Amino acid sequence: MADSILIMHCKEGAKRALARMTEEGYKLPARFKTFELPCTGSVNEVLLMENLQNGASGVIVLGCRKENCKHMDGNLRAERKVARIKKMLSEAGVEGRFVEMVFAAPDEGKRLHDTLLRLAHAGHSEGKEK
Amino acid sequence: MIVAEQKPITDILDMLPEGKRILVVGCDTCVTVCLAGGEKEVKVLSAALRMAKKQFDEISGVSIERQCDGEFIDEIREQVAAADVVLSMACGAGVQMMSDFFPDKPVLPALNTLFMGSNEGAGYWMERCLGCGDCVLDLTAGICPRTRCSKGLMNGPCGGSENGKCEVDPENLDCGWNLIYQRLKSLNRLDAMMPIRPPQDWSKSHDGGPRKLIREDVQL
Repeated sequence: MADSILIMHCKEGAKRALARMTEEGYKLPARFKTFELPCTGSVNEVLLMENLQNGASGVIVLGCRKENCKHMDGNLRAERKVARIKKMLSEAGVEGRFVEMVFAAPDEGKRLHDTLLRLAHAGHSEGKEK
Repeated sequence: MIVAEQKPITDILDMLPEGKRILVVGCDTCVTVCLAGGEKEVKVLSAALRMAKKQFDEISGVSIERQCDGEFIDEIREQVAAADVVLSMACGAGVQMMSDFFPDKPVLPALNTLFMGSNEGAGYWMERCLGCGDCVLDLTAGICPRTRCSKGLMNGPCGGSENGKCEVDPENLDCGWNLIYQRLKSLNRLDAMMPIRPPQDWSKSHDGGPRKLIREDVQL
């Protein structure tokens, strides 16, 4: 768990984007773990916070592209939940841990790979600097 | 139900003493329904406090059925005894009840208690009752003028009512007395609008200290 990054992704567009990323040969470091949700709209704030508390350096909620959610607005609800948790962590002065919302379409393997690595690097650097 | 919201975490951190054992206590009734202080919120807040820059010796969490009821508070005596500070996620009534039960422990409020209201939809609660102690809903078709009218008028609508909206917020706020009028009309009871009602007797509301309700028929 320590230093891991948990990707909580939906089983629709985001899952296919992760699969496409792998098919295109873009691999993620072993510290990335994945957790599948029916839709990111069902993301559980308790699970999210407890993963951070138990040592994960970051949690990335990965949903479908905006306006492409199979459940209409699940990804937008997830975005609002993530924003609330981010604000709470920021105001509490939590260091070295991050929460981010990412949207991806099934044909965005490379872009998704780049985004995930950038977030991991930014979160890791932030933690080390402080 | 009683509607409350969590205080900003900066305020909570300011009131908590550093290096102490904190017990976060949730309440499984009203504040659970309004997503402010139930079991889930206890877990989220506890996790945030454990990761916060300000350091505490220990953060533990528990939630009980009602903090405004002694029989449920008794269930957590041991946990409270093992803590230095209790952070209550109940409404103001629950926080005060906890303080009464544990006079040697600081009991701090994690929520701001807002009003008595109803669940209007996902994430939307609205005030419905002021607890004025002198209910007139029988005369006003089930719509409270003291709560729903911005001015708490007993005889309305006033001149600030236009197109069913209140001048206080013409975009979003319904005129309470227009609601009463429309409802009485639909019930064919418009005659109930005619009597001039006397001013509210506020002596039955919050006046002269905390109000009490004593029913001798159920006392032991």
